Amino acid sequence: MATTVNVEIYGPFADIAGTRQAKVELDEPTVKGLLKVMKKQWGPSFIQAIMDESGGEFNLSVLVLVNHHPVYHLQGLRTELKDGDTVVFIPPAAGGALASGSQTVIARGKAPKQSHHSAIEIASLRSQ
Amino acid sequence: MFGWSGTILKIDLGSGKIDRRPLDIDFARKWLGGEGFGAKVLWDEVGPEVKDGLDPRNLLIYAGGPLNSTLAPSSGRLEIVTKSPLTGIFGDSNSGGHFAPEMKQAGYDMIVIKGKSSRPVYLWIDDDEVQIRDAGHLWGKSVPETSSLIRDEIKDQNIQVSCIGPAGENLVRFAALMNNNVRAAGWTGCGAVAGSKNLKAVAIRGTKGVRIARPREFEQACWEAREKVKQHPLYKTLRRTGTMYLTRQFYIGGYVPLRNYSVTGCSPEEFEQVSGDTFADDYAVQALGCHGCVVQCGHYAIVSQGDYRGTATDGLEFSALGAFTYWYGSTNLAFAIAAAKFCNENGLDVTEPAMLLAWATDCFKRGLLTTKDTDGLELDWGDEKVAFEIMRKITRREGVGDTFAEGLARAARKIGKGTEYYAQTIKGRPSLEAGVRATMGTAMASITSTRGADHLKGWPHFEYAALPPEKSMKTWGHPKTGDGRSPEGKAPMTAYGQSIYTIVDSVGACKFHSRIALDGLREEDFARLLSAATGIDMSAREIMQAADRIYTLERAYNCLLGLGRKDDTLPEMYFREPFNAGPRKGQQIITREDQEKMLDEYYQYRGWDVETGIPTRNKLEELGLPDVADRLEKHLGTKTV
Repeated sequence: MATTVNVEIYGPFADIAGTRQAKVELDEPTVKGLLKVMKKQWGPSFIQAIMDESGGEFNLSVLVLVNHHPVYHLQGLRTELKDGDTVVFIPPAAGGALASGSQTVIARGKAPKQSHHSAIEIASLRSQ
Repeated sequence: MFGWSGTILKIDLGSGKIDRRPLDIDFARKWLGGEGFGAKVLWDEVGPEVKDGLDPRNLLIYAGGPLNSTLAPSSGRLEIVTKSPLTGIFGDSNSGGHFAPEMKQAGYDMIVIKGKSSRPVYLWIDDDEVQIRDAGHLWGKSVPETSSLIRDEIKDQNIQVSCIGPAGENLVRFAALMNNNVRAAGWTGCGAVAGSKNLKAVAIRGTKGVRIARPREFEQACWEAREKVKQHPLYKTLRRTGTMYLTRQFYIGGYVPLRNYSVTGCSPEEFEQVSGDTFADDYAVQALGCHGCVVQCGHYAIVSQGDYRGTATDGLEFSALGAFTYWYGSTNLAFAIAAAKFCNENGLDVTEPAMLLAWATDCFKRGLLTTKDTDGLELDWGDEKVAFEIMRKITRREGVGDTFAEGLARAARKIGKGTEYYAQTIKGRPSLEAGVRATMGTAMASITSTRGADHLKGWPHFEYAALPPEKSMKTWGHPKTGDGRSPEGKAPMTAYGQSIYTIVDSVGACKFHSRIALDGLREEDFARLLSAATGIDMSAREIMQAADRIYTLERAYNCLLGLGRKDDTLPEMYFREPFNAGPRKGQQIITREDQEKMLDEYYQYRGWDVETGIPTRNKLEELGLPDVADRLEKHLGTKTV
């Protein structure tokens, strides 16, 4: 029996999808399964807008939540969905794309212990 | 001099003396401008002997930045620094509008005002000509009336006016300094400081232009910066809804501060009544921006039906509308628009009155306040008539308004009877941002803010993007940094956010154009802009170190006044009461143990003493501030390690 989830889309993603709210039936009840159905129903442009170049994970201009919890802190694309769950796609008011192509603010390993390795030091370290 | 104007204007309202000092280039490079300039002058000239911000010895510092009035995106921000009469500690307030560019055009990087005039006055600054003028006829006038009268008097509709309303005159401790009628330097009570000096307004006209060292390079950097901001997916949304967009982010994140945050969530129907979309669809008619703005988050709005039909105003944003709806338990955006207009016209900060109303109603409902405490007023959630009556009383310091005019923290302390517990403040400022109770990094940024509770001294937006663990590790050195539910790995992100916002408030730019909000300008972008503008090649590292220096000096200032680790804490209520509604129902998000663990990491990271929270001598010397260490040691009678 198919699982039905509620989908809410905000910001420019809603324009691309052509809808803000929808009920979607899933045979594969995961976030990945949802994306497959969305691609079929709304075309590839929505998927291109929210996925990174590899197509294997979301890009950082979108925040995806399942029942108010970010999927990245659940099981990512493998997050399981139940009947009645709500999945939200929203652009965060945040420096979302900071990790892609950033020249600075790249800390590797633990935060430094000495005071001279301040936030500022970290901020100016070049990515390796 | 390029970039900076090169002149500091000093005015003593007590003696009437007007003095001009050249801006020292080494000073400028070390402190950047705006917030940095103000913090340094305050540290040097307003010591612990000035107990109250309303003391004539306190300074009112208008500070501009090297990017003001240039082609840089949103280069119109003004910084006002003072010892806060609201919190009793370092105080700064940042305002949009067009005043700072005019100040730059008139040739001033800073206007430092001290002393107290024996009668109401206003300053008229026309390039090099500076006059202290009588303001007897302006006293008691609203903000729009004052601006209009001054412009008519000088016969120039293009001058910029920063002024107080009746609230500032009556020394309401959260009175704002307003420019362009609706743009407020609203937090920390700088309007009360102006009132205490009998200073009604500063009016300014500048025609000198701005000197850019490498114009072609600068122009290229500006256009690239603008395009960067415009590419963000939120760019158009922010123009449509303004900061009211944030309401949805809070709602889907599972924390809505309903009715003084006594309820932590609401139904979708309740939410939609006061969402950013409702504001945009039903009220906003035109996006408006500050000088050189790309985003234009401010909105002109008109109420077209109901009790407030015909109410029209601009400068509306989340702090005002969110506080008068969610916090005060109202679902009427038209009321919130009218309330914000009242505050702007009377020169009140918009946040504090709403938070006072929310707190007082909460306490009234719990029986901690009665009609004996409220001049006979029956308080109820979202009661609009009561709200306007109390705000009127606050503005005039009448009856209960006199107590409330002291600000939420002081009013609760004065009234006592357990009401303090429901006054959600940090270092004397109301904690408006709902995420402070719900996400760890936001909590850290707010409790370590140098001007009390605040999401604008270093909002860790990266947490809102919920960075996945591997990207979090790559960026911040810890997989849990992007997880708002975890107390781990928050220090680098918190300190970085504080540094970016310090740069923004120092150079005269806007936070929405920075990396943290719309993935806009980063430290290397600011370095490029500043280098081309000033002709002094500055690296991203140098600028970030300047931000560290500024923030650490502000911290040292507060430590000089006796503050330290004990003051870096969330409201007690957040540790005791789990979420009681919404998707987080039943969850206790932040414990005291979480807070202390995060503070340990943060102090260590910042180079502040873990036990006391005071910047260490090593850290201060690293930042080129050995004199600050000396003064701290001498004043506190202890070694700074």
